[in-house]
Amino acid sequence: MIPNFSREDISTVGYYLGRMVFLLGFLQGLPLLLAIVLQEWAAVPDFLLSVELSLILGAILSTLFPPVEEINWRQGMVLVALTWLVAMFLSALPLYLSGHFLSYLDACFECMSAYATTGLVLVQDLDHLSTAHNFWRHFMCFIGGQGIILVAVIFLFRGSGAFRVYVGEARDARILPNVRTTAYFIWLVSCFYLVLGSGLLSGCLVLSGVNLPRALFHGICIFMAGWDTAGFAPQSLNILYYHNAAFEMLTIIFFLLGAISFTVHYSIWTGHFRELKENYELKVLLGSIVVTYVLALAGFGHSVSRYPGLWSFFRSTFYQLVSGHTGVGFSNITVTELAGWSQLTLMGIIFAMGLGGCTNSTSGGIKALRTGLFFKSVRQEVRRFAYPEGASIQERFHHQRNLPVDDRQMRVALTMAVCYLALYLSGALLGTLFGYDFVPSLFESVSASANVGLSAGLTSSNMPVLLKIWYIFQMWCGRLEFIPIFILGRFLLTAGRE
Amino acid sequence: MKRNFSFLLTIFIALAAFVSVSLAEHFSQNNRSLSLRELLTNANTYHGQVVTLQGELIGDLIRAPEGFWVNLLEGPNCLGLWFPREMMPRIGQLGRYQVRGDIVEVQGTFFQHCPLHGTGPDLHVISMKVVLPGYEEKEYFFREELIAIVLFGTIGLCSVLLMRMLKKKRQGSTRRQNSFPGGDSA
Repeated sequence: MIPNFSREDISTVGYYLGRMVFLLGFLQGLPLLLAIVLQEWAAVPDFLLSVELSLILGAILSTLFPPVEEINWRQGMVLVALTWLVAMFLSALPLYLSGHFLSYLDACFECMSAYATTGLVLVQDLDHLSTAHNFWRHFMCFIGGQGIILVAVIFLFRGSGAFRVYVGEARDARILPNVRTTAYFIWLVSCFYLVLGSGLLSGCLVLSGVNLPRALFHGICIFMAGWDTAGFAPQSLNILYYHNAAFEMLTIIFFLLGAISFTVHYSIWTGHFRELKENYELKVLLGSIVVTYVLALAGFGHSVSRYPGLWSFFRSTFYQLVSGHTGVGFSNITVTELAGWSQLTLMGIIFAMGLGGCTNSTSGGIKALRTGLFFKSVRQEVRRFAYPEGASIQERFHHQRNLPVDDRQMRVALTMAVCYLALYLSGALLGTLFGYDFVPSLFESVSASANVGLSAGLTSSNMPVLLKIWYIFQMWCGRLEFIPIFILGRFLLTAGRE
Repeated sequence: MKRNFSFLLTIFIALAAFVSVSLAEHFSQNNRSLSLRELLTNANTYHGQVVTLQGELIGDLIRAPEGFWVNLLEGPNCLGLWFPREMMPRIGQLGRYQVRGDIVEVQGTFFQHCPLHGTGPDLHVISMKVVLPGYEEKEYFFREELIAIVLFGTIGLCSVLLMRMLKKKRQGSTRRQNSFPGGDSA
């Protein structure tokens, strides 16, 4: 049983939450600045009000709770879970005020979807949304993909407290010995690819005759949504809007890069290219993409003949599959077409979405390393029985270095897998209770929990309120990988009861 | 004889009227624009057929090797329109923030999976006419929002000042405690 939380715990969490809210206020300054530069005067008050409210809330929390030196594990976990919720509520204000959302809940849904890099949308008339609001949607993906806390680690935390909150955001590996330098490294890599990716995507659009400022805006937004495996796009047609195969290929490259672990990025960064060949998690991810694609293809049967050629068929199907597997959720077909695919094909994509990308990356789901560890463990058990008694059987895998498969890793992997499976199923059952068919319900539930964003047509502003709230919960849980949420639950139940 | 002739003439006129009304209805049905929702939901049925659509032109004019792309918006649905190079579309306004794009009626061949472009649904335009030219919208502000900004701005400023004051007070009391010989600075 987790021990009760004391008043001191509330004070520590409150103090740091206040600082986090301040930080969120400053981050909203960027779209505010953009609105001023682009003279989108109607968007300025929306952001100004939101910045003001964040600063007031931050000031109140900082005044109420005195400064503390260090944050412990439990407090760190509670802080992370709370920060994500507060960030959702505060960031939804400018979106709601834009008039493009039917309710505040819809705006909150959009924000959680952005921060958790899911990509399910409830925005209305996206094609007429202001550049500043649209940028804010994508910028939230960029912040959430790397981690809201990861921004704070650079500015707000010192010493071991930094590591405690860093772990709370579903990251378990320090790439470098120090957490702050690890955070710097993750932001350095992300910003490097931001410049490279936005440049290439914008260049592609300029060649298609789109004027430079618009091309830059689209390039930056699509990069942020792709690299952070979020799947938002500035236009309602998503990737289909661009009608450009080269553009689609570029997005595949960047979302695959986003789905691989930052530890692998570090190896590439430091010139250890062999890691690309030897990394076990990458091998599992590629293998899993192939297997799930074959499963999805099996569901097409005779309907393949509806496509005018093999390239057309491959372009439509492979894009959805890889997009689902890496958790990005970009789509180059319409929702109605995806919803019309056979149940077997949808199941193939559901498996792909559920398995997800790599650990310590921007993607969600069970994660390739955990899937791989499960297979290693099965193999180890089979070999234990097949070999003579007393033989030493030890499976190993390569993840930066050669590591043995141990019981602790297996326990963590299985716990996470079971939690994810339960979360997937819960959303599917709730969807079925509301009268939707099981397979589309499961599709949408897995898409929300694994932070993917592909939709079989259930997600809309007309869907039941309870389902919207549950999807928000699933996105939040899926992104933070459960533990901070469980501890927050305990905090809410016992805080203050010494 | 005369009576028979007038009876036959009446029948003939009635028949002619019926046929012309039916034909008119038939042609008007063929020219009636289809909703995008209906088209996309029954994409398989309409694949390869000539259809008429009405909607707003949005976004950007995107150039391709053999022509141009523009996207058409109708309600929450959107579809790519393909114009071959020889029929460069004459567009006044494309819809975006603060701009309502031209409302057009387009006739073209619909493809669920385009044999030419190898991707999702599109419409190869045969003809297009502007039904309503696009226009720029005026920006509008809500008075309540502006009042809230001033109000929260003032509260924000006061709370930040209060925070600084309390911080100084706290620092002062800590310093006093530390300087007092019996203070629990240890």
